[in-house]
Amino acid sequence: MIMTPRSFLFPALTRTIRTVLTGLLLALALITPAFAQLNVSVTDGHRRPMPIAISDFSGPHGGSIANAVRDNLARSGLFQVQNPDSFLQREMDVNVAPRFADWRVIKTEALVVGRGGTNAGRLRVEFRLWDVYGESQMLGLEFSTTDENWRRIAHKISDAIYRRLTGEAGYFDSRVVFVAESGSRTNRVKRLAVMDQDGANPSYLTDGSEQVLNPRFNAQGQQIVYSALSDRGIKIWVVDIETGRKEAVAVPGNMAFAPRFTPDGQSIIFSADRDGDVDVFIKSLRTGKLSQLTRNPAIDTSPDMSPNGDQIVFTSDRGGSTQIYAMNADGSGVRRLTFGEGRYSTAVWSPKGDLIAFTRQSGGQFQIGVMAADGSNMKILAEAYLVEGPTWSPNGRVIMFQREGGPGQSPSLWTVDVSGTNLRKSPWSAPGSDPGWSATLP
Amino acid sequence: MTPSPNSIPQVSGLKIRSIALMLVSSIALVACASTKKVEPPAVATTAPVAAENAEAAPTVAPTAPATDRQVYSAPLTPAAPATDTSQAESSRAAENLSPFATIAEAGERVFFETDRFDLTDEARAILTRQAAWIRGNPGKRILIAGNCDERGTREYNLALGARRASAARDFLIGLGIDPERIETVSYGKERPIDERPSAEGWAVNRNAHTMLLD
Repeated sequence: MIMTPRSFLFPALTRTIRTVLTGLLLALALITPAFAQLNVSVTDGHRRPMPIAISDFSGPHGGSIANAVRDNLARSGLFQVQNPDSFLQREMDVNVAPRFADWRVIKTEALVVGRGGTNAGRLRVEFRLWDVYGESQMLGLEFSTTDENWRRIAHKISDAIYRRLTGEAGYFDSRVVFVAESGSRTNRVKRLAVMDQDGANPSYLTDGSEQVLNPRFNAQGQQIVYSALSDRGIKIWVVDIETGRKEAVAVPGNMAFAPRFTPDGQSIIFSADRDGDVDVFIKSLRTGKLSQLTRNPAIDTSPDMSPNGDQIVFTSDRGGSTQIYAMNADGSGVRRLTFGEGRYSTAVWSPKGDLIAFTRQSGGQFQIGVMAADGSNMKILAEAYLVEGPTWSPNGRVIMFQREGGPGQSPSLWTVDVSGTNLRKSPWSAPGSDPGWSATLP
Repeated sequence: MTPSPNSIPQVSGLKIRSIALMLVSSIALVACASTKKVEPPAVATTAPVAAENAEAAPTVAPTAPATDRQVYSAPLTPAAPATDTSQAESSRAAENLSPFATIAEAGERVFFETDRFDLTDEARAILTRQAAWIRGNPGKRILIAGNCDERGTREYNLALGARRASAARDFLIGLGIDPERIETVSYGKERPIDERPSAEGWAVNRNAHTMLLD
């Protein structure tokens, strides 16, 4: 049975919280009449991060799980993760209410306590999220999996905490496909790689004999589409992440690139060259039907289909400079979205379809920005010698992109909050480019 | 269909259930979620990408200011083919009667201004010499690769490189070279030959590179 955390977790949490709260309130009614409403605003990046303490979990991987949760929450920028050295209460029992006064001394507002154990060869980890000032449990969950999969439990716990405290879906139990780069600038090896969003569990899916460019997950997270450059052409490949099988997407000509899945995962939109003219095409993976969506002597590339499937944004220089355009899914109704100074490219829809992230070139610098789906309310989030290739976290809060801080520097992966705050380097510290963020894992 | 060296097995599922506080009776909420995990990194057998010959630096590396200008121009074709060499091709095709021993001697790269794909006078002169070599070597086919500097986004540069390669090809066709003998490709900004992250290096990396196939 496969269930999404969303459909499964939320009703479960609601029931748990209600039940637990009833018990708590009965027990603590006389002690704590006031019940604090603990939550974090995610709409304003300048809000004070919420102080949260994560005590080391007991049991197998306990310290590592707590560390992974701390790192996740700290990187989100929404939490001030307390240093464990400051904790007054060290011995925690997941089944005993903490000494809230001790935690108020270090001014933490939320507290996480957890315990792991092994049962029939499987790792089971339970945790509770406490409201320190409200002296109440906000969340109590247990996860179980195989022992080597412990990091996923840490990510599930992080997502549950994030959701409970922000009211928005988390994004920690997700993966990033990217291009791992090595070699000199004039002899670059570019391999397809996948990692957890926090840089852990990296894995290489190609051997480096071809230069891999611009990989993307499908919405279901089962497949990756990418293009591979060899001496005599550039080809689109689909790799199934479960079986490892690779299949070339047959396209006329020797230059097909900039591939993305359509939201239903059934088709690929991409651009292809015909005698120096690059246009946008769509090809059904099921029927093999190929359709040309743009017919213009200008460059039309970097297409991306909206989450509801009815719009495609793309990069074109048909108006004389490189700008972002939108069209209907059948290629009709082309309209220009960007009019500002500079060159705009690589438009990418947010998961909700309300925003578009893009790359801009202006004043000798590159920028990553976001704008509304109609091109209004443009906002620049990051700027450097080279930044390009934005991709959205599954909840639409964070944008990851490739960055070269200055001339001659290696590309690396960076993230920024959609509010423009919390710019930071990805935990994946080796040279990397072209990130593509998956949906949250099932 | 190519089987991957790295198969990614499905790993056991991740179970989640809510736990209740000791104050209340336990709540049975069990569900399954299947998860996938990629195997640890496979052995890295990195075959280096075909290296460009960095020694073959151009004699002319035009410097151009990086601007936002975009120029449209149809690929330029010469008014008239160079008549003496086309006669040479028709009458004495069997042997290399080109004045150049190799494409490199004729000039293997032509260079472009920032974000442009129209041919400069210098580029046309080099392509005319290439055409002479091609005519003198009738059995040979060539590959023209379009290259870009690093100051553009990856996918746009792949498209721009395709335009540059096509501009060079169209000029050669205009000189009477059989289109069947010319293949084009774009390397975008992926295969620079000059490491310098400067206007001088970028100018060298904006080129169409003619190579011998077969």
